[in-house]
Amino acid sequence: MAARQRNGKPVRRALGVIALLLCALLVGVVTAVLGVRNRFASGGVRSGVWATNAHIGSSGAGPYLRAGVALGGLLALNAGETVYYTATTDESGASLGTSCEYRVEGREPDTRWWSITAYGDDHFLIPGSNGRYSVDGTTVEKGADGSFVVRVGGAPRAGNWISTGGAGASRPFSLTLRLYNPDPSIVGDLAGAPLPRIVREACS
Amino acid sequence: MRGAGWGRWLLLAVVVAAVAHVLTVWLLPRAVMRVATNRLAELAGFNHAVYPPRADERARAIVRPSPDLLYASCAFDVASGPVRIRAVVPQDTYWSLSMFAANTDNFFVVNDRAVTAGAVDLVLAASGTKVDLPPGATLVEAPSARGIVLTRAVVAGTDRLAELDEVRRRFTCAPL
Repeated sequence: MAARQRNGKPVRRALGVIALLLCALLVGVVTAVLGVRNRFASGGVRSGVWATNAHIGSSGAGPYLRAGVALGGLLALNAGETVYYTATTDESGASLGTSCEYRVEGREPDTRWWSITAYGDDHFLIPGSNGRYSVDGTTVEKGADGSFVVRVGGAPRAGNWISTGGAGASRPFSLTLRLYNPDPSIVGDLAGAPLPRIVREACS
Repeated sequence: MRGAGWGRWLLLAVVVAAVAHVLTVWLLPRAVMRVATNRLAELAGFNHAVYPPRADERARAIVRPSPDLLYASCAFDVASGPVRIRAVVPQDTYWSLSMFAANTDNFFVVNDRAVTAGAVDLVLAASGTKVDLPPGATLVEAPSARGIVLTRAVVAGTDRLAELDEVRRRFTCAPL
């Protein structure tokens, strides 16, 4: 009160304080959302380009991971039931984009059932994919040793191919690898699981 | 004097930012789960099973749906009493029934390998509720009044779609 009288500009000062506190509020909310997004995309454990977290779906999840899962994987199961790995970049570290074609190559993971699915940057299946959203362990074409090559993006192909929606502006996308009832050796060493490589081939 | 005055407000600003940060992180999963639960409840009401079509690009209720699974779900509300959840387990494919609390935690899960009787019969109730369990049913305590029950079945190739869909529709969710 004393300061107000001395300054003689109480209105300006009050507006300044309100602006300052609104900025503080905004900073608090924005840093929270950024922290949460980061935690889901890159936090936890990585095996190659694939990121996951042992506490997805579990009540042991910390507040940041819980919030991150709510945004990017609501209703996910815990690791003993299903491990979800997500990749947002190729082997070179470049972000996955719908104007490029990729080769996903690897060997069948040690799990009861698996699938690889492409999602748009809104976390939903990509429009214009004509049903080619994923490949899975029961229908993938593979060699006698369990090795496979899946093409992602580019022109439609027969066999192992996942669409990223075809022509149009390039948008980021991500791949999710689901391992249902994984072998305990995977759950016990999420960072050491041998997972497919994602190699960029060509961009339009 | 002027500098000291602003110093106090700056300190308050730091506190406001910190509180807003913590509250956002805490509220976010609860708000997202609430929206999802209410969306499900809009389809059939609380404590009522929903059998959505196989996920494609039009499925926009829940993020990152799998196009290789058939889901059945139910928005539960045990505030006014226990809810009975029953399901038949399909043969020779991955199947699970899981329950999620209002803070998104997966508080219950059972899969086809753990079920020996070919079916599950559960009674979901708020913790501390006295429940007259029907014979053969198992009690599950819900950590929150509202949440979501979800079943998943792998549709391994489309040739079993009709059969698995029929089994899925035997999942029911109703007040006890």
